[in-house]
This record gives sequence, structure tokens and C-alpha cells, in this order.
Amino acid sequence: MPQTPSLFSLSASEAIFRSVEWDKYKEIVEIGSGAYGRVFSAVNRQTNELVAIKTIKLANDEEGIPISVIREITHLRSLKHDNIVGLREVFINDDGCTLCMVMEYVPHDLSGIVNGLNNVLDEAFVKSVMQQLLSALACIHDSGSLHCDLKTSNVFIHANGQVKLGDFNLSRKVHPEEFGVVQHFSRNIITLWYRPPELLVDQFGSSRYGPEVDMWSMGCIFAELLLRSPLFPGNTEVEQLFKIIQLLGTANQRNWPDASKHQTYRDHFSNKVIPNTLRLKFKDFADYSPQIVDLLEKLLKLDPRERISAREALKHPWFNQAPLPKDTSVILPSYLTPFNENWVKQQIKLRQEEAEKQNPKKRKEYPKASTSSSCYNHHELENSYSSCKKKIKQY
Amino acid sequence: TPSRKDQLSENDETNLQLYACQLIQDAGILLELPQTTISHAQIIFHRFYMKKSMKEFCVRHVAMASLFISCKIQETHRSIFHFLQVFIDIIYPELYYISPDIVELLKSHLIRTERYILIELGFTFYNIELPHQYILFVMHILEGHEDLTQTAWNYCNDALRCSVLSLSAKPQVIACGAVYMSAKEHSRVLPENPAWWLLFNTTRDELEFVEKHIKEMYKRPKAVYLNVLND
Repeated sequence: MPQTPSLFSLSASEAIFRSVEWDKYKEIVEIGSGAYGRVFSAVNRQTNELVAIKTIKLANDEEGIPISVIREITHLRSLKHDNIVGLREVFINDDGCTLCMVMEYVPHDLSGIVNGLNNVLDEAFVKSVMQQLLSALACIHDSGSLHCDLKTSNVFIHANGQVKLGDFNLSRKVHPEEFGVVQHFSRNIITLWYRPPELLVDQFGSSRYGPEVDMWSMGCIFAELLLRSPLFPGNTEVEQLFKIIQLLGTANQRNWPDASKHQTYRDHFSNKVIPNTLRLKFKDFADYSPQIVDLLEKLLKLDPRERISAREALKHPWFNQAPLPKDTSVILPSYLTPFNENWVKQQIKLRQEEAEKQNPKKRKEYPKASTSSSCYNHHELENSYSSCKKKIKQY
Repeated sequence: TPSRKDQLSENDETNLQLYACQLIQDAGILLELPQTTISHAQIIFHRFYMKKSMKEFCVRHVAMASLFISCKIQETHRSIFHFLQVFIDIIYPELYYISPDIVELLKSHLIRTERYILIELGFTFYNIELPHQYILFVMHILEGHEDLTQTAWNYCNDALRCSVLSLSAKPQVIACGAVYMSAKEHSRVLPENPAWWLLFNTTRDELEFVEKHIKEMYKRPKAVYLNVLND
């Protein structure tokens, strides 16, 4: 057996992975955990800035540093914008098994605000959130990237109303077409509820997609802010498509000529005519500006080519009308009681337990009904990610 | 560079750089990776050795890890076992039987080196710009022929193996230099008055600088692996 050139013994190399970084922080408190690792909040000793430290377990027997982490860090590094979560530093722990990302701490997220805050979200607040989000998205799209996982639990918000877009685990660069790169696009991006129809009908994931997919998700977030509940809460891909078509009507030559090319679409909707009921659904918002529905319609176009871009959406007249974004009267609570995804999960769990106490038999009969209501979980995302990974492996 | 400070001769250093870039190129072709992924890997490799010495980090491992990272960044993912298989085939062509021990050892090196590179370069890979896109642009403007483009493209691939060019020259300059050499080789006359390279803000001196470096590289003997590691 030939000698493999060896440079460092396995144990000696560990010393390089610094962990002195942890000394820079004080008041380290665990605030959450997930499949990837644990999240801590801490205070920087020098700047007194409150930061969130996300730790990611690196399993040695897998494919090195996960591709999702590399994606997230490279995107956060390259994008500098007021409305994108700031990455302070990245280091690897002494044991060499944990990657730590130090990010700015943003207490609330939109899913918490939508579900938890009792006062009305006034038009100015919605406008302010949308404006900040669109300007962040315009910056991302200008740099040739896609976010690919826009949803309310990925939009973080400070107590002063400043919005920060986060979670770039699935985002990717789009190369210009002529650059000779064959890109394999995965269809399994974007959490189901926010997934645009062109990805739902396309069985083989062969088509290219672009910034339009993010704009559809923006439309869903916009509607969710107004309705205070998700717009299309589907459990399966087909159900998701049904929910979309029920609201926006069946596709025809005018509003989505490509629809009939797709087998899935033909199977379910070829002989049906369903009218567009979007304006009917949002008639309750009559005291808001009528422009609101106009923008929503432009974001939720069935045909991806007709969907408005982030830059165009920022120029929409709604943003220049009174009430202006700064006039909001919504006051967010201080960071001690964060309204975020974890909080929503806890609430759902509490509600389930209460329901169980009241009628324990019912749960036994329909064990699935209760789990399907807890839709704010990461399973969807993780499933989509792992199947995406499988696809890549197969390829 | 850190390697030179570590008493490595210039000749050996260049030799190892060329060896590693050849290794990346060969493995990339066997793994059916696009040229962009391979070129990215070569640039990552050069950048890493601007910070660390070749006596400290084995060039084979760094070459391997650079390509591995580049695959992830360019979304052209390959499984780690496929990856190791290809590298073992190239590094130990005389082996009939690959024992699981070698695979395991190389894998642990790969994963470790990947971390070193990512931390050392601070995950800054978004600012890598390749000259290849400019070649197509130059050729489109000059209405060059396909063979001219292909030769220029090949020169471009080779230019990135040279650390001076891949680190310090602007991608436009490398692209123009490659086109300049390609036109000479095919004895094609490109517009001189006004000079075509002015379009890309380059000068004749810069083009000749690129040409000089690429020609120098061709004069060198075939690069071979040397074990220069400290214990």
C-alpha cells in the first residue's frame, strides 16, 4: 500500500479551529433549536450589540460543510442592504464539529406578527413592510440571485418596524443564459404555500425559472398581511394548485397561454371554467386604497412572464399615496416577548392540548387533523431540501 | 508568498501550482464538470496559497477541496465518493485495489481542508469573476470565427493556471490577451486603428504581459508532484 501523503495528524489539526470568538460575547442564552443545531442570543462585549449565534452541527461522515450553509453565507456576505439580515462573523468551534454564524438579532418575524399581534395592522404598516421587503428583493435580484424561500417566517422585523429578510438556505445564483452553463433547476424550492403555479404544474422541473417565483411569494405574503391568515394553505401539491385556481380562476389564452402545455394542469382543469374571485375576496378592504388590490393582482399573475418585477412594484402608485409608510400606528412589543415562529408553534401546541383535554376521543378518530393544522413547521422545507439533495445525487 | 517565505524555491512553487491546476482540470473533466466550476476551483486554489504555505498544506488536498467547494458554489454537486474515486484514480494510477482505508483517510483530509479554505478565505467567493464571459463578448463584437474563439477559450483556461494572471490581472485583460494570442496564431488581422482592445480599457502592454506569462508557462517541463511538506 503506498504511503498517502499526510500533512497533519487528525488530532493536531483541531487546534486551528478557534473558539476564542466565544469570549467576545456575554450573556449567552439559548433561544431555540432545530434540526441543524441550536441558536443562542448574546451581547458583543465591545459594541454592546445584541446578536444571534446560530450553531450548525457538522457531521464528519457526510458531504463536508452542507451546501445550504455555504449558500447562506456566500449570499449574506455578498448582499449588503438595510433590509437583509447582517452577518457579523463566521467561525468554527474548537472541537471542529460546530460552525457558528453570528448574525444580528431580530426579535420578531412576520408569522408571529400576523398570528400574535391583536391590534389591527393598519395600511401604513403593511405598506412599510412591503416597501422594505421589495427593496431588499430588488437588491437580491439585481445581483443575479434568487431567494427561493420567501415566507412570513423568514421575514424578520425589529421592534422599531425595520424589516430584515433572512434565511438564504435555498437561494441561488442565476447565470446569464449565454454563459454556456447548463443549470439544473430543482422544482422543490419554496415552501408549498408560497410556491407559484408554474412550479406546481411542471412535473419534471425542466423549465427555467427566474425572479418571478419570488414575486409570487411576495404576493402571498402581502395577502397574508391583509387577511391575517395564509392565502393558499394547501397540504399537497394538487390541493395547493386547486386553491390557487379557485381564487384566481382557470387559465385561458389571455392570462396564461402556457398552462395547457402541462399534463398536471390538463388533468385537473381542462374542462372547467372558474371565474377570478380575487377582488371579491378583498372587498372588505374597501376602506383601504383600491390600489392595494391592483398591486396584489399584479403580483399574483398566473403567467410568470406577466408578473411584476420588484423594481416595478416599488414604483407602484400605492407607495406614494397617503397614508405613507412612516404614519403607522402599530407598535411592536419590546424584544423580551418575541413574536416569532417558535412562539406560533407553542401557541398551536397549547391550543391542541386544550382541544385534547376537552374532547379526547375526537383526536383518536382523526389523528391527522390536528397535525395538519400546525403548518408552521420546517418539515415542508426539510422534505423539499432532502428531495432536492436526492435529485442532485441521482444526477 | 507564504510558501516562498517558508524557503520554497520559486521553481518548485510554480511547478506545484501548475501540477495542482492540471489535477483540478483533469478531475473536473472526469467528473463532467463545466469549465466555470473548474476555473473557479483554480482561482480558489491560488487565493488560498496567498495566505498559507505549501509546506504546511498539501497541494493535492487543497486542489481537491477547492474543486469540492467550487462544485457547491456553482450548484454542480457531485457525491463525495464519486469525487474521491476520481482523485484516487488520478493520484495513484498504479493501484489495482483501492482499500477503504485510503478512501477514509483522503475523505477526512478533504473535509478538513475544505474547512480551512472556507475559514481562511472567509466565504468570500461572490467576487470571483471569470474571463470566459468576456471572450464571447469580444468575439461577438469582432465577429470572429469559431476556431478563433475556441483557441482563445483554451488560452483563457490555461491563463488561470498561472497564479500571477489569475490573481492580479483583470478578467477583461486576460480575455483580450487570449484573443490577441489566438489572432496571432491564426494569423488573423483584427482592427488596429482604432485598436480593438481600447474597447475594454486595456493597453498593448497588458496584452503582451498576458502573452509573456502564458508562453513562459508553455516552456516549462511537465509539472510533477513533489513532496515538500514539513513533518
